[in-house]
Amino acid sequence: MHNLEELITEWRKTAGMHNVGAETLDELETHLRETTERLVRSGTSLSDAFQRAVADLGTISGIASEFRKLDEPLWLPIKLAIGAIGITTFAAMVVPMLVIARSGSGPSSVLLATHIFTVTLGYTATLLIGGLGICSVSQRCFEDFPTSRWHSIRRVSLLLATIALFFTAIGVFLAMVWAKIEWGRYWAWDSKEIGGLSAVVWLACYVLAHRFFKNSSRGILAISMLGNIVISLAWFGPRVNGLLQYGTRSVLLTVAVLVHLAFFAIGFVPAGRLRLRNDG
Amino acid sequence: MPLILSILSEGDSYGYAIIQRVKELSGGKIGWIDGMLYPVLHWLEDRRIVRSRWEKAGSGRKRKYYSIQPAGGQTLRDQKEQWIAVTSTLNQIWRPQHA
Repeated sequence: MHNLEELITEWRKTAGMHNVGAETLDELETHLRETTERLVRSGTSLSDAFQRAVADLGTISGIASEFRKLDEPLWLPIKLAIGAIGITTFAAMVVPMLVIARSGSGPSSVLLATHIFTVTLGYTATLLIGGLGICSVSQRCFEDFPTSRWHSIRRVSLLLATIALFFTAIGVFLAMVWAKIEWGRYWAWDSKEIGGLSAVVWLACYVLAHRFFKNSSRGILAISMLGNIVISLAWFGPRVNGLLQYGTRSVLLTVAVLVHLAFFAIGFVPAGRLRLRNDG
Repeated sequence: MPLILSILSEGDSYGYAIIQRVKELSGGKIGWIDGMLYPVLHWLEDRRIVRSRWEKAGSGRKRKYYSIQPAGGQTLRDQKEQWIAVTSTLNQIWRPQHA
C-alpha cells in the first residue's frame, strides 16, 4: 500500500490549498482510504480505485465551498459591540487614574477609582446587550435571521452579561467598602446603591434566563431591552432625582425608557407581521 | 438531515459507514457526492445535534464517530412528523383513482 500513501500525500497537498482544516482533511482522508480499499477488494487496480474514490468524494473546492457556508461572517452589531467594549475598557481606566491623581493614592481613592472602572464596564456591557437586542428586533422587521446568527447573538449576549454581572457585583461591593471608610456605613439605600443592586439582580436574572430558555433566542434578546431601562435608571436616575428633576435629563430618561419599552413590545410580535413587503 | 439522524439513532457511526448505509437502505437509489456529507455532519455538530469523537478501529485506522445528542432526538422526532405528514398527503394525491 506504499503507493496509496503517495497518492494520499499528493491529494492532501492539493486539498490543503483550499483552506480546509487539518482535522477535516483527516476525516476526508479516512473516507478515501475506506472507499479505495473496498474497490481494491472488489478487484479494481489501486490507481483506478483511488481515482474513483476521489471522484466519488467530490471536488475539494466544492467541499471547501460548502464548509465556508458554515462560517457565517460575524454580524455587524456584534463587531461594533466587541469594539465598544474594548474602547470602554480603555476609557474606563483613564477616569480612575484622574480620580487618583486628584485625590491622592490613599486606600479610599483607589477603592473609588476601581469602583468607577468596574461599574462603568459592567453598565456599558449591559447597555451593549440591549443594543444588540434593539438591532436584532429592528433587522427582524426587514428580513429573517438564519439560526446560526441567533446562536451567535445569543452567545455574545451571554458573554457580555457574564462580564457585566462580574464587574457590576465587584463595583457594588467596592462601593460598600468605600462608603464604610468615608461615611461610616456600608449601605444606606440611597438611589445609587439601589440602582447598583438592581443592576446586579437584573443581570443575575438575565444570565439565569439564558440557562432556562435555551430555545428562545428571540425572547432572550427582547428582554435585554429591560436591562437597558434598569441601567439607564441606575446610572442616570440618581442625577435626575436631584437638582434637575424637571430638566432635560429627566425628559431624555423618560424618552429612553419609552423607546426601550416600544422595542421590547416589537420584539414579541410574531415573525413576519412587521415585515416590509416588496411584492406590491 | 433526517436520513443522517435516523442512521445515527441506530448507533454511533462515521461518514463512510453512513453513506454505505444510505446506499444499502435505498437499494442504491439514493446517492450523493460523498464529500458533501461532511459539511452537514459538522453543521449538526455546531448545533449540538450530534457529537463527534476520534476512535481507533480494529484495523488501526482512526475514524471520526458521530453520536446523536438529546437535541438531535427531538429534531429527529420533529422531522419524522413532518415527513409522515408529507408522505401521507402525497399518497392521497397519488392514490389510483377508482371510478
